[in-house]
Order: sequence, then structure tokens, then C-alpha cells
Amino acid sequence: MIRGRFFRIARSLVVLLAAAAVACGPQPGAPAQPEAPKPPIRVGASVSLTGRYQVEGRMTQQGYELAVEMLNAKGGVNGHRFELVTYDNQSDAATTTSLYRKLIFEDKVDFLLGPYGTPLTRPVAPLVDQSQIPMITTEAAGTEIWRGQNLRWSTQLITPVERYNVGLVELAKRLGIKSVAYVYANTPALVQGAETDRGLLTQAGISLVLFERYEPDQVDFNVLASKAKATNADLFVMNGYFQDAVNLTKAMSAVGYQPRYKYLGFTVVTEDYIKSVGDLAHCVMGSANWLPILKTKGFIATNEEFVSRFRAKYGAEPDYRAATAFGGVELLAEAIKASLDRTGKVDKAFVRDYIFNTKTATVFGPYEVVAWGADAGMQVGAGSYTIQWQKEPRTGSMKLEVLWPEQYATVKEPCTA
Amino acid sequence: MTEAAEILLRSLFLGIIYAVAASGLALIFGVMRVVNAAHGELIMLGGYIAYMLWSAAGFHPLLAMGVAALLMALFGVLLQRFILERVVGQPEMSSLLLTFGLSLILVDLARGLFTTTLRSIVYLQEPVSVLGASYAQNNLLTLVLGLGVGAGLFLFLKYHPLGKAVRATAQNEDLALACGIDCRQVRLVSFGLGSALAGLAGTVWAINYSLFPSVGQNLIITLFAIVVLGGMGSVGGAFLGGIILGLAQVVTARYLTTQLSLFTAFILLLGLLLIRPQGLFGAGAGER
Repeated sequence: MIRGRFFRIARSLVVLLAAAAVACGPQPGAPAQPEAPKPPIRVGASVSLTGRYQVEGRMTQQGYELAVEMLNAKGGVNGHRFELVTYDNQSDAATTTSLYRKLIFEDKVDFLLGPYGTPLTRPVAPLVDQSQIPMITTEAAGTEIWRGQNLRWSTQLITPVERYNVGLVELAKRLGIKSVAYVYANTPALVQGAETDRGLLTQAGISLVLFERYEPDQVDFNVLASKAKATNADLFVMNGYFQDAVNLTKAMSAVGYQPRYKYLGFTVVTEDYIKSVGDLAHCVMGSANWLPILKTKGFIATNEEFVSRFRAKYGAEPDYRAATAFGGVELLAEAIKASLDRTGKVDKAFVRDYIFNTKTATVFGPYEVVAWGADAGMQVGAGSYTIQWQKEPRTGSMKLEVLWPEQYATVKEPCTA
Repeated sequence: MTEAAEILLRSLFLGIIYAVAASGLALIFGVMRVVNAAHGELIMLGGYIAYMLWSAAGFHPLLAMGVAALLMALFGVLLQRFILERVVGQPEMSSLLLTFGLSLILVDLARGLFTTTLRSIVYLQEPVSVLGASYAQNNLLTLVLGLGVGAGLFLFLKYHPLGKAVRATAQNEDLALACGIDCRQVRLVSFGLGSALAGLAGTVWAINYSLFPSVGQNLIITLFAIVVLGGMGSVGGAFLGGIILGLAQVVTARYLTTQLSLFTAFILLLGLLLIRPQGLFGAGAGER
């Protein structure tokens, strides 16, 4: 009797244990183990957080950071998160080169993004070619880095410097401008851009009554503005950096120089310019490689999403430098995705081939580079826009208007001083 | 005639900024034999203090300038008392390394506090015509202020007992000590005064140009060239050196090319050192 009861209890226990084992065991169709996280993709860059390019460099850093944050929020590339490794290059070429050496040989990053500006990128490009790590140079507009250099591992994302002022020359012809006073900073990219502009203006029959170079550290522009004033040219052009544009705007006001048209290059498009010079920005023209109103779309976001996320994160307006930096991460992510989809792995050679041969778009705009030959890697797809700041009579605030190309123009004619 | 007046006024305007900035550096070196590589950062900090007082607290720019100079004087005294006093009498390389480190810390601090955006004090930007040429009103104000500072500094060093003590210590510290001068106090006063001058220069810079955290690093090489040009440690020499450099840069930009104007300081320095190695007002070997 007792024995039979014992067997019943034992049998019940066995059944219960078996049921528990089944309940706690793997479900049909479920993986046996949780999937291990995929290794991150380490992307290195040096950015200018101090020194003369610090304003530009801050935007670069923010563009990179935001792109990586948004990409990772979407799960990365096929589950691989991006890990950004950046160092401050102090706006110094030698420091930049040694930092890229550190990124390549000590940090052993998988891919590279470029620093701000041609002077800092130029010495890095040969090092990148030797190390055979793909690099997307986001903010080097000078084409001498690629032209005739047979580079195989870095491509240019930003609009080349020769195409910065295409709109200016078109506009000058349309406005019947006869003479131009032109000053420019002595950096290789800007010298190259200035020489291109000189050729285009001369071809258009416009006379250059002043064509003068200044050193990038120039702060006091009173004498230069005074010299330009003496030429009485219809149009004054400056091809320089942000600090130059701010100081030259002040100097033009100081010496009472009011040319019919003034065009102060590619940095005046930013909100920081308005904060620095206030009403003096009225009627100042410039060029833009990118605008917040463009309907572009890249691998991570649309231009509209990029702009709104940037505003939300940094409490400031993004500029073209943030857009190119963001676009650089987008292009890299797109190339890595193609590599993972087609080869099943993150293949550097595949990524390299992809960024040289693809014709795509990022939030910055169209991307297409010379695929083969001596100029390989040089951007041929991106364009530029001519803009002007105009003071709104009713509110007194400054508004950015687009003058060229005509399909994007928000006003027909530029305002004059 | 008009052109000559324009050249002269533009030179004086540029030179006076250099002069005020460099005279503080020369004073500190003259009294303490400290090569203050952080002087550019003191200028930068002074500019930012004035900017913040103007933009955030609504101070009038001139009041902001005065308060910035006072705060920088206090900062200089504290810096001297607790940090730089340790390297007085040591080889000049010690003070150079210490102040260089200090400059890096200050730049980084400024970057964190003020960000890297360019800042300017918008004040009297409207042009005014003088002898047929236009100048920003703030250019002319800078000129008047700079000349006032120069005159005040001259009178202080020449006639005030503390100024005389500063000069005595700069000429011969042992003899000054023997005469009962408290050289430690003189050093505090000198560094405080030098820092106040940096504060003034920084505000003037923020009004006329634009500020960013590493602005001092760009400026310091030119200031060193001016101090050497004027004679190491000579405040009057530095003042005059600044104005000479302003004149040379303006003439070069006007009649040769703007590109060469920044090199003028070094060309001038090289030429002068070949003729007069001790600088314009420096004591030669055996004179000190």
C-alpha cells in the first residue's frame, strides 16, 4: 500500500519535472543562445577644436557625432554600430598628420574621415594611401590633393574649390559688372580657387582692378579695404575664411567702403556671421555648397531630418560643414552596408571600390568622383549656390536669399548697397 | 597730404593696440625676468570678461573694459602670488615652460566656457570722416584710449613711488632690496599691472576685431617680436615698438602687398638686431 503510494508520488514528481524542463527549455524556432553583439566599426578622424579653424572644426565634429548617433539609433549597419574616435588637431598640419598616424597604427581604426580644410588634409592623403584604409575627406575643397596624384584610398565629398564661385561669374555677367576688386587668403585651395575665378572673370570680359593675396593670420583689413575702395570697382570679392569675412566686413564699414556689390566667399552663409557683424551683413553675397532648404536625402536621413535633429541637439543652425561631415558618415555607412550585403563582411577593398565608383547622394547633395586615372577620387557631382543676406524691412532681421541657380532662386535681383 | 594723414592714423590705430598689449608683457619680463608665454591668454581672458559683462550683464563697453582690467589685475596678482613666484630667479626656460603650460590650460578652459564661436563687442562701428578718410569710431576711440594708457603708464613709472620701485627692481633687484624696496610686493604689482594692461588690450581687441579662445596664441609671437624690438623689459621700448610695427605693417600693406605685412615684424626685428642687438631701449652688455 505504502509502496504503491510512493511510486505514485515519484511518478508525479518525474512528470512535473519533465513538464518544467519542457516549459523552461528552448521554444521551437527560438535561437539556442542570445546572439552576440556584432563588433563595432571604428571610424577615426581628427577635427579642429582649437586654432584658426576652430569654428569650422566644431561643425565638423558635430556633423560626425550626430550622424553616428542617428545611425546607431537605427541599429548601425546590419547590426554593426559605429564608434567614432576623434582628436583635436589644433588646426595644425603636422599635428593632424601625427594624429592620423596614431589613428591608423595605434588605435587601429577601420575607416577614416577627413579633417577640416585642404591644408590639413593634403599631408594626410599619402599616409592614408600607404596604410590602405578608405578615407572620405569631407571638407577639403582643394583639388590639388587628387589632381594628378593617383590616389586610391581617399575621395572628396565637398564641392571642389574651382566650382565655389561659378554662380558669381554667371551673376556678374547678368548684372553687367565691368570691374572687380578681388582679395584672397594665401592657402593652396583658395589660391587655386582665385586663379580659376580670375580666368573665368577675364574670359567674361570683366576687368580685375585689384587681385591681392593676404596671409591667413591677417586680422586688420583696414588698409586692404581702403585699397579696394580706391579702385572704385563694381564688385568686391573676398575668397577667405570665416574670421577673414568677419574682420573684412568690419573693415569695409570702418573705411566707408560701399561697393555696388560685395561677395565675401563661402563662409558668410552661416548664422555665426550674422551674430558677429549684425546689420553690416546687409547685401553681402556669398556662395553656399549646401542649404537647409534642399530636398536631399542620404543613407541616414533626409536633409530636413538632419537640420531638425541638429537644431534639437546643439541648439544651433547647421552649416555646410556639418552637412558634409554628416554626409561623409552616410557615404561610409552606405559603402559598408554594400560590403556586408555582397561579401558578408566589412571588406576595406570593397568599401574603397564602392566609394570610388558609386554615384549616390548624401544630405550634402550629389556624390560622384573620378573613378580611375590620375585624378581619381576628385569630386565631380556636387555644385554650389549663390546667396545674399537681405535685411527684412518690416522685422529688421537678416534673411538668407538664394540668387543662383535660377531654379532655386528666392529673389530675382541682388540688393545693392 | 590726405594720404599721409591716413597712413599715419591707420598706423597709430593698429600700433596702439600692439603697444598696449606688448607693454604688459615687457613690464612683467623687466621686473620678474619671467617670459610670460601666457600673456596672449591673459589678453584673451580680458576680452572675454568684457564681452560677457557687455553681452550678458548689459554693461556699457567702456565700463566693461574697466571692470575687465580690474578683474585681470586681481587674477594676475593671484597667479603671481601662488604660481609664478615659484619660478622667479630660476632660469628663464622654467618660466617659459610654466607659462606655456598655463597658456594651454587657459585656452582649453576658454574653449569649454565660451565655446569656439567668434565673439565681438559691437560698439561704435559707424564710420566717421577725418581729414578726408573714413575710420570706424571705435578705431579712433582705441587710439585715444591707448595714448591715455601710455601716458598714464609713463607717469606712473616716472613719478609714483611704486612706479619708481618697479623701475628700480627692473634695473637691479639686489640694489633695490638693499635700498629697502619690497621686491616681492613690486613683483605682485607688476604682474597685476601687466595683467590689467592685457585686460584692456583684450577688450580693445574684442571691440575692433573678434575673439576666440586661441586668439592669444596667434598674437603672442608678434608681441614677443615687439618686446625684443623695443629692448627686453623696456616698457617704453615695447610701446614704441608696437607703434613702429603698426606703421611698418600699414606702409607695407599699402605700398607693397598685404601678404608681406605680417612678416614685417620679423624683418624689422632682424634688421634692428643686426645693428643694435639689445633692441631700441634695451640695456647693452655691461650697462645693466
